[in-house]
Amino acid sequence: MGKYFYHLKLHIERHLTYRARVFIWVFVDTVPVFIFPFLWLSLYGDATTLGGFTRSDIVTYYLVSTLVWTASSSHISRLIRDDIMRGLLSEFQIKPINYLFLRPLRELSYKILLLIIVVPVGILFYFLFPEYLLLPTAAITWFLFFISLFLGYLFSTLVQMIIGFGAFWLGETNTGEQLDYIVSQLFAGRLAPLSFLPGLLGQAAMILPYRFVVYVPTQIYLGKVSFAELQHEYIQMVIWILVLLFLVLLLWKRGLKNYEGVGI
Amino acid sequence: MKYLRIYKVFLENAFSYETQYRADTWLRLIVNIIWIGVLFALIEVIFTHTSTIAGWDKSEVYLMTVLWIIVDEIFTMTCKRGISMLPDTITDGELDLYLIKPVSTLFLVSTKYFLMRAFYRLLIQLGVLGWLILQYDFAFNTLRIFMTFFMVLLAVLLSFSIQLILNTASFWFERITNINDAWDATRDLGRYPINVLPKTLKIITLTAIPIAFTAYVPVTVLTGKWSTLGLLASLGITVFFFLSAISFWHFAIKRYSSASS
Repeated sequence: MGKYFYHLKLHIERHLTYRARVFIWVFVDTVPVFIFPFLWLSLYGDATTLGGFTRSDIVTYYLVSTLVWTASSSHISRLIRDDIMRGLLSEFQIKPINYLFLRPLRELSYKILLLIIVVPVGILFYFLFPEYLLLPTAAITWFLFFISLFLGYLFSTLVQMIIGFGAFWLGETNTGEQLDYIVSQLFAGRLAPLSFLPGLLGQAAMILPYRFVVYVPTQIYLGKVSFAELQHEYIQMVIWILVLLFLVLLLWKRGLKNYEGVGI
Repeated sequence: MKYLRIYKVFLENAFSYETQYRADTWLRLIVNIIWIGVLFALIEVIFTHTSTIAGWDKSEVYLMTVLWIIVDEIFTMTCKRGISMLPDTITDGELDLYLIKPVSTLFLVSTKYFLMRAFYRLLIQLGVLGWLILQYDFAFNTLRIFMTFFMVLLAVLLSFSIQLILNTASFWFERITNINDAWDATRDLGRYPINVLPKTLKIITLTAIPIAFTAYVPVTVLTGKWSTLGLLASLGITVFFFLSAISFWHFAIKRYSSASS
């Protein structure tokens, strides 16, 4: 465990060396907060609710979903792709450290710094606009929220690893990364609450697992998930994670056989 | 003439590069179509709850989205890649190779990479625009179409200027390649009517962070909602940002000392 903690510390130090990058990434992840709440609030008119959301609910939804996205989304596929295509994987293979933990550790180091920046801003926002940032009162809600956050992060990391390992066979996986990003924007609930999606889109959103990354944790936070629904969601999340974990291990094992260690 | 000859070589290189990665080009075209589909899906989601957004109906919001995509695509096609690579170009010392050439360094940095795949995507997006115009009963006239085309070019120039300013900061701040992601994320907000924003944010989108000019202003011109004074203001802001970008670039180059090469 010591060597993994050491790597985590190294990554944090690296991020602190290039501080501007960290602040820019925080800005990138939080930008939707500057338009979507205003966009939806403009639709209310004299109505008190819209799609089951009050004005406070919708603003809280976007604030919390932005925080959830920054905490639970993973972006390691491009790192894995670069390691494979530039032959850097060879360097990690001879070290006494499991590569499958290494790249997620780098992402985790960024998340730690992110939370140090975002949480105080969130607290400040709460004191300035308490009517627009609802806080759960029950400790159990917070507990279930953090569990779902962790599971969402696991899911996102495993999906990114699968995309990254595609480089063993395809080389360039940029298109897969873009597709994953585009689809997750809609079906994770980042652009709009999934309950707003009509017809086939709504049905697809409930079948696809992207909702575990943003929508489900946010709904738990807002107290809009019953205990029965929560059980159902958790079971599905765990099944998806186990399936993806199996795929990751399979692709890793097969990919290493295909890997030639040639840089581009 | 010299610059035209050089640009012709860049275009030939771009086409040659694209022919080596045909499968990837096709895949990216498909991803682009999916992305447009997702943006349109979001508009449909919003309009299941309302008939207008701050006075804008669905057809106008569709128009705004497509024009926003077209502005972004023209910029991506012509100079986005070169400008976006500036932080790495500086850090890796490659800028030295541009500086010793007997042509404008800014010209080389900006225009070296012409993205053919963006050109193919632009053709698809122009097709979508055509379909949109046929689908909805827009009351356009020739003058407004001409002015909108001019506004689109101004929007591309504005995107170039802002991205150049942001990337020129990499002469002082290392490894800020993600500054381009920040601008892309900010530009994303320009797809929606800025009338929904509070007054202060609205003014910011028309001045300091002029994302309103990427789609909102061109569509207001096309639909006849923008005044002549507004057109002049748009020109003024674009010229201001362009001259600021060029001045900042020259300021940075004068103070540049090679990182490594």
